[in-house]
Amino acid sequence: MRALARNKMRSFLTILGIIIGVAAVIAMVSIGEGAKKGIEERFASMGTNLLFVYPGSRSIRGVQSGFGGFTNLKPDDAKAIEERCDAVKATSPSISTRAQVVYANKNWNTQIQGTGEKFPEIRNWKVVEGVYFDESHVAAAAKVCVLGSLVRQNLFEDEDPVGKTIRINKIPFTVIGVLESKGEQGGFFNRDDMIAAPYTTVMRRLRGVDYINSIDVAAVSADRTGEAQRQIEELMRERHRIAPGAEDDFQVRNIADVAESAAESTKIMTILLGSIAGISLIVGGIGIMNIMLVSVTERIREIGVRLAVGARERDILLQFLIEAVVLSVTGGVIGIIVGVGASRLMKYISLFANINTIVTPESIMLAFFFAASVGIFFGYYPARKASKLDPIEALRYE
Amino acid sequence: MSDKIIRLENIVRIYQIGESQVQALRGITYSVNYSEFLAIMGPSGSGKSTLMSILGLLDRPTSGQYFLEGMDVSRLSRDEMAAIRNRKIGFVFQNFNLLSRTTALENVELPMIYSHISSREAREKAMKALASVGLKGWEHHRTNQLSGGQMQRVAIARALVNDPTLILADEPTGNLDSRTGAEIMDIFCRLNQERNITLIMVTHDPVIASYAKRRLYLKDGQIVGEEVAPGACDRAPASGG
Repeated sequence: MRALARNKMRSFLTILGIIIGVAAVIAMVSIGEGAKKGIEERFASMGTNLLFVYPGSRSIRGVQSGFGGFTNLKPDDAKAIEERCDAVKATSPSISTRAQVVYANKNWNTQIQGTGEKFPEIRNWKVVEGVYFDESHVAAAAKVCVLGSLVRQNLFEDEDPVGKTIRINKIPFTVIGVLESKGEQGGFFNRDDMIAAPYTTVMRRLRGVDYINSIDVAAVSADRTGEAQRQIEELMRERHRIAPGAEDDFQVRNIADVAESAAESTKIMTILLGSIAGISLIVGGIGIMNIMLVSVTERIREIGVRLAVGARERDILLQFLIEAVVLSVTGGVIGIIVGVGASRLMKYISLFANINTIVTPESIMLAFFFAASVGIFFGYYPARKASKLDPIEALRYE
Repeated sequence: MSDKIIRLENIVRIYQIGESQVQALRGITYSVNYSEFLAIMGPSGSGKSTLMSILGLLDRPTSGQYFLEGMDVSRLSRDEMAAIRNRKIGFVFQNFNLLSRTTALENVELPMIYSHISSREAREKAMKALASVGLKGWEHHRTNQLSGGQMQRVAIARALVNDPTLILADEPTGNLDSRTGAEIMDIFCRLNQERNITLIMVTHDPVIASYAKRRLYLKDGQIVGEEVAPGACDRAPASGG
């Protein structure tokens, strides 16, 4: 152990690898956890009575069409669901596209979300300036729009946007309202970065199609979502003339399902980020093995003396193993401090302004035990080599 | 037979070096009494170092039997040999073999780390051992601050500290001037006479060998002569180091 203190510089460089590895694991996992939390909060704020109808994949003559690749969901389906399912309170057809938006000398690329007039009610989303479009705007495919707060900020800053004209793909639209900010940090899918317009307008003027992407459905209450789901499935099978026993060409999913699949994808991202960081930890471990091998060679005489005065193989093995573990655990502790610091810092540095990070005790424990086991794993070979030395040769070694 | 601390029966040691075999010891049969002071002499390559390694349980004979205090130790495992070295044998080397950048005290405490003695007791015993070789007051000096004679005294204290029955010294004065060498030999004489520790010393220096009462001559792995005569220790009883 004293040997470590004697070679301060060398010990520090050795544990630097572990410090970086552990810090990277903690910082990366904290990004993943932050994204997960953001998604959970978003779905929680959407309300628990929400359902979505998507076109389903269906095989046509053996060719499986991918999820969402269908064009068979029509605005009439939304109307029928609202009128004929008594567990359903309201529906809003949904179709989206991305477009370049221009106002005066500013422009911005954002998502154009085509919705029905009941969208604010269904999504529990207030209009803070002006108004949302109504039934007549939808019927007429009027060129009106309501801005998400981020778009409003980017195009208008302090100006009052209501009544102004912006160009979406060169088509002039009148701004009639602004949506409340959802106050999201998450940069991956920021809901304030969008413009809402009547779905009819998006279909005809921006996309030039006669189908919609999905239907937002609000059940009468949270405890009737199951009932609403069954009613919608029954109605849709009838409307789409699906024979009994044949597969659905649509999917009805409730908010919990959607939240779950979103959580699944952030989990994959977390694992991915974490394992890339984990590789640097292994590289750090190889550094420990390298330095332990050097240390064993330098101290062959010392090992010889220890063996001569009665050290058993186990004593020598433990001595060097403990040195390796002390190195990696010290690196682990410093790495945890650096990693937690880096995660905190990422929230404040402008470059990462949109990234929310959460450090969980699990990720700290994981990184720490991983570091300790790296020390044991990569320290074992040099330690074993030391313990197997022949005492006579070791004593004569120059 | 119980008065014999060491009994060797036809000890053979063959080294395999690549394809060829080298016979370092060709059948050594010999006994050493308790409290004896024995010098092993011979030119280099005579096998005296090999014999020393086998006596010190650092090596095993290829064939033959070695009884240490009546117990056959020629076929023990590495760890069993280590345990006996720890309890019964002390080593003193030509190049001292102290741990660098550690204090005299820490060097003397080293064997006791492996005999599970409490650190307080180990410290006491180490202090006493250092005092007995005349190094009182030098306990906390680092080994690189000591002279050659002092370093060898630390090594002797380390060999003594677990109260061994046997001390093996390999050219203990080889790196020292003759005056310091004589001081070291005085310490050995005292250990042999006052504490009845059996001493076996390898040397090729006749002056140093003359301290011993019995002198054994080795050549080409065989015993070629033995001489028993009063040693310098007997002629001039130790003056107190």
